[in-house]
Amino acid sequence: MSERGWQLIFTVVAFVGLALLPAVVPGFYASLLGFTFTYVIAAVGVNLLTGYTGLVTVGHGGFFAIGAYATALLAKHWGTSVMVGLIVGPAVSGAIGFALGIICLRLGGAFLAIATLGFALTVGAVLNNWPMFEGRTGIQLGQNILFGYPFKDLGFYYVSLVVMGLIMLASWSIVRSGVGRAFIAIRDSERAAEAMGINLRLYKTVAFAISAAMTGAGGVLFAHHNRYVSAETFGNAWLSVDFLTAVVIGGQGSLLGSVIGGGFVALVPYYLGELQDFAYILNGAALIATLVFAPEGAAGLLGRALRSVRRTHRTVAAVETVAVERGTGWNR
Amino acid sequence: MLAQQIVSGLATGSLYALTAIGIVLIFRNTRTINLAQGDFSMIGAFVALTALERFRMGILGSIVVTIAVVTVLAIAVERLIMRPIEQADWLTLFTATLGVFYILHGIAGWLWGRDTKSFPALFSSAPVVIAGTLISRAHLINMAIAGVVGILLYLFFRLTKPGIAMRAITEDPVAAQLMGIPVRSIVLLTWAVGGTLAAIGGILLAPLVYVSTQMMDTVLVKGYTGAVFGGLYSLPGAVVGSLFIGVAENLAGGYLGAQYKVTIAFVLIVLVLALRPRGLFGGRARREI
Repeated sequence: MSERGWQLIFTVVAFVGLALLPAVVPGFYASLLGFTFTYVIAAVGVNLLTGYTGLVTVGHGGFFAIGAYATALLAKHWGTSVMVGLIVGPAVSGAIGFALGIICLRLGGAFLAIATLGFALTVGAVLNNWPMFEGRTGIQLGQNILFGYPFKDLGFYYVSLVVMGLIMLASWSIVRSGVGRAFIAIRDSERAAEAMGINLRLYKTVAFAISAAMTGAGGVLFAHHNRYVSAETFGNAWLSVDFLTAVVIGGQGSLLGSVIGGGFVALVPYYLGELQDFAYILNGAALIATLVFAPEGAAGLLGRALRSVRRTHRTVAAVETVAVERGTGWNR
Repeated sequence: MLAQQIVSGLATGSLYALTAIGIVLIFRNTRTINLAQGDFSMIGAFVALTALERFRMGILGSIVVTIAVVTVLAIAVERLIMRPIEQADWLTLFTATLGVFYILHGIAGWLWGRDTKSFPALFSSAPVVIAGTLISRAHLINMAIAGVVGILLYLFFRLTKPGIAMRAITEDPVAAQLMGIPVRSIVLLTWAVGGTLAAIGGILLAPLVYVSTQMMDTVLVKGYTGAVFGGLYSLPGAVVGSLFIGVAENLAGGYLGAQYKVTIAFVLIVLVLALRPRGLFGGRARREI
């Protein structure tokens, strides 16, 4: 079977498995996994920009925050639900991402990384200091409601699972479309891409907007998961660097990588609980180890391992075939 | 009032400049955007606080110990983490310093805790009147120290062999190596100088921003902004940029309201980058010190 066939089967099995998980596993961590999915969604967004288009962002915590605050403010003033948030949040963060993309058009490499970090901290400073965002006091969100029915952790688990699935599907389709091929061409060589007739300005800005919208959707779910947003969480650069770390550890230009990396940065602090400081140390050590030993990330490492297993299989099969044909093999 | 705002802006700006110079030095010799530059200062501030309060070393002793510790730390980072990947692309180098950033935050939080600590004022803030303007003595001393450091650096780059070697590596690492310059030792020295500057910056900033694991997070970005003014290459550009940010944020804080004070630096960074991607002092014909 082709590699893509295997990928499809693996993905379907994984999602069916996740959907059935709550029924099978006793004492299921619905809340924790739902939370993890929001990080994965953000990582998918960052990966589209950094992994596929080659534009390194250290500022997507800002878009995550914009999504979260969009839905929080809507819920506070008009009592809207998560569905409205999931439409408005990504729209707002996507629009701001589009604008930032235009501003940063001429920047590449390290300068873009600094500018996006500046953007994240600008958002953080605004959240901390402008009265409408309530600073460190934060905004409380009410009971989560979907189509008129209130839901709790388990319901949230399914909502975020579905959104994560849709966003991964979107990323998958984009990467395999002409737009995605343009993104990848820009990553590999801007000049070559331009020479091939790819409109750099257009595609870079679009990449920014889509990626920001995706990460914003993660932020919307994050807000509804905690039912609380405050500058304590969103007013600094940690989310931004966590998302970049997720993409580097998981694997740039890989959906599976976004899942592994997003899961890693979400779960490490959780499992270390009170030992916050060791979570930082572990993150840093994992990041450096990835760069030194597996620059293609965990997903790349996994893929390499799988491929080498299959290659051994195939080599054995090939040797046997040859052996049979020559009448010297074990199958004689 | 205006003059006062400007002077105290210059005083803070001169401390940002210490961070900016460290960033530029390391970037132009190693292509590394060092995210851990702020953490070097943060560790320095904690070390200084411990030396002052736990070991009662006195101001001068504490400063010497702090500089020694942070310089060794910077050397260790270069030797253990950055050198094995020195040939990698800029993103790898950048994310490696992000790894250092995480680790140093973790270590500092583990050793010294997460809460904010106050730092004793090293110099009295009693005002001095100069030309009809009230200026805090601490501000003056901070500026003087930063100025002396700047002059020493200038002399170092002008007159000493290692300093000239550093500039040669900035110009062209391969040619420098062919001319017999020990590039690796000089890169190590660059990190050491970066660490020393960070230590001084950390000690001087500590009384102003208090000591905590996140004390340098915003200062670091202001340092970047200053560095970006100089296109990440020019040291005078970085200094002017840092002073400008110090003054701009102070004026914004004074006349527009406190909530704009923090925002302005970040708006500036995005603006400068968008309008002059190579920096105000960068451009094609780069001029080094």
